[in-house]
Amino acid sequence: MASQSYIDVGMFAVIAIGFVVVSMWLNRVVAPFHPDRAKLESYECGEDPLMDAQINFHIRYYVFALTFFVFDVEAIFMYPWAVNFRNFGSNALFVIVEMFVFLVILALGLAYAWRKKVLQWV
Amino acid sequence: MSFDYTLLLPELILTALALVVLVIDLSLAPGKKQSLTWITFAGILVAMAGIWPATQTSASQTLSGMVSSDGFSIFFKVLFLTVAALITLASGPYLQQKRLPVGEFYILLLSATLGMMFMSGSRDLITIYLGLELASITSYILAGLLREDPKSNEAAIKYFLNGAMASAVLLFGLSLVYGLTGETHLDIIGKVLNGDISHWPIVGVALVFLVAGFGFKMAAAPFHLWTPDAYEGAPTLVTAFFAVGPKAGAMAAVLRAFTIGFAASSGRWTELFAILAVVSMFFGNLTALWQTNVKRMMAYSSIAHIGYLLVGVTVATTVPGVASVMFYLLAYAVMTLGAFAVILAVDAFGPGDQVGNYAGLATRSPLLAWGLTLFFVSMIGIPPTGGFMGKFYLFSAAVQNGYVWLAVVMAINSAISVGYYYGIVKEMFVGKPLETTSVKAPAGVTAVVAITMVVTLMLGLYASPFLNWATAAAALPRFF
Repeated sequence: MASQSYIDVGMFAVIAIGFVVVSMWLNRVVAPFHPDRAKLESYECGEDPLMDAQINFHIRYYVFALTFFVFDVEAIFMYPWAVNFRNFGSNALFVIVEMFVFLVILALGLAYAWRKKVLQWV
Repeated sequence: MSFDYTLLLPELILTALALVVLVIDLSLAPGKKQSLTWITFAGILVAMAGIWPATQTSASQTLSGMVSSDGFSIFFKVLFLTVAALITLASGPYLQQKRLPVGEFYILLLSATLGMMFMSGSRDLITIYLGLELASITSYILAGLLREDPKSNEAAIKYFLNGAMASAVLLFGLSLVYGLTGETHLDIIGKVLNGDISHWPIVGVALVFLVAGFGFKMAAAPFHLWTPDAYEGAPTLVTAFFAVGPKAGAMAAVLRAFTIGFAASSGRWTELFAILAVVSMFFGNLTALWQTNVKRMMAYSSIAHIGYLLVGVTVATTVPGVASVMFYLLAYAVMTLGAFAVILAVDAFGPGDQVGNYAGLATRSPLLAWGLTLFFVSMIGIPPTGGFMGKFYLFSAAVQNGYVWLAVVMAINSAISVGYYYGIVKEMFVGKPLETTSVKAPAGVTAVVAITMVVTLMLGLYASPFLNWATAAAALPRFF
């Protein structure tokens, strides 16, 4: 019983790795290959790459990333809430209030960042 | 699905308080934030009053049984809120003098306290871990609050890296338990593991991981390496909090998790904790003898005290064992906070944090000197103090359960600890001070010293009501 589930895991791993190997091999065999200078450059959303990538990034990027989390967490939590909302039935009002409590707490986080001048670039 | 908010009232009040402090902090101009101290202090008292309704309802579990509000967690909630209140009381002038961010300090302190309250109330691996992380992450930031001070930064980084690793170790142990039982609820884990010895090797590995993970969090040797640096570098007020709060939180989680979830294998984990206890006591006390920095000395002393507490955890399969740990935690919290209040006064408003700085304190500030002497007497375990009664109960709980050798080791270590505590007392009463001006502690710090002195004596002279409380609380969770 227990060993059966380990075989499942093993099969899954073999298929997952096999899929990557097979599809990359197939691509190599079938696709045409005509490299030029523009094609071999690293892709930076259409911009021409400048300089080395190994530089010190400004610390503010990390603070921006943290502020972004406020919205990220909000979205992650709101999505299942919205999908399941229909099933809450008589608790609907309670569930709405709960979500708004959550949103207010997150908004306070954003307000904190705003007041501490995190959103200003200096 | 039941949400009984009465049982979570103290936690909810504390959460609201942290948010209120945040909003008020944003609206106040820099340098005019003294009012936050009193708002936080009043709020903590309200949260403590919020425990009362929970004792009046018949229900004891909420959030689908993940969190319980029984006598055990109420005892710890009172302890944590008292610690937070005393720290807040001592904080005002210190924060101003060291130019620490006032609002952030209180928010982090309240969040850490909230995390610890969840640790003591959890009956589920998920909530235990969430509470632990909330308490830990806020602690890392608190250690680094002196942003301009490299030592404080070092303390924060070391605490963070070690703590993150400990969390990973703990989480790995928890995942093994979950993999074995398919459950995160401690009651069900206890039932599944009970009487089924076929899982033993994996349960053993999981136990080692859990003991190591919790050992890191409460700074038991040999998992203590971050402690001296974190204690020395962190702002003294924060060190005072570290020495009590997170340790008591981890201890509460250990008591509940092991006695409920792993009752069946108690023969094994008690051995692990016995080893940890012996190593912590000897290592802490012997290393403390050589320290010249008082905060560092207190770090090693706290490792030794965790060793004493672990003697009680070793016999935590019995009600007196759990009760003795809880009583000693109470005494330890009070005397440690008192001692750190004196250290804070001498460090921030006096000469400094080296042993030599205590020379002649008895003439420069008699209250501080006599207070520190009383707390050290209590830490050594001499009557009539709370520390003596605490050690006595730990001792008798160990002897009753056949751990006579562990009790003897404890007695030997108490004797060793006289060495370093006496060194400071001698400095204070015999040493020649460089200056003779009196050390003026702020009113809040003096109040903390006075309160903790009274409570330390009270725990020594009128111990029985407190012990009865701890015994009733230890029996309530229905561990077995």
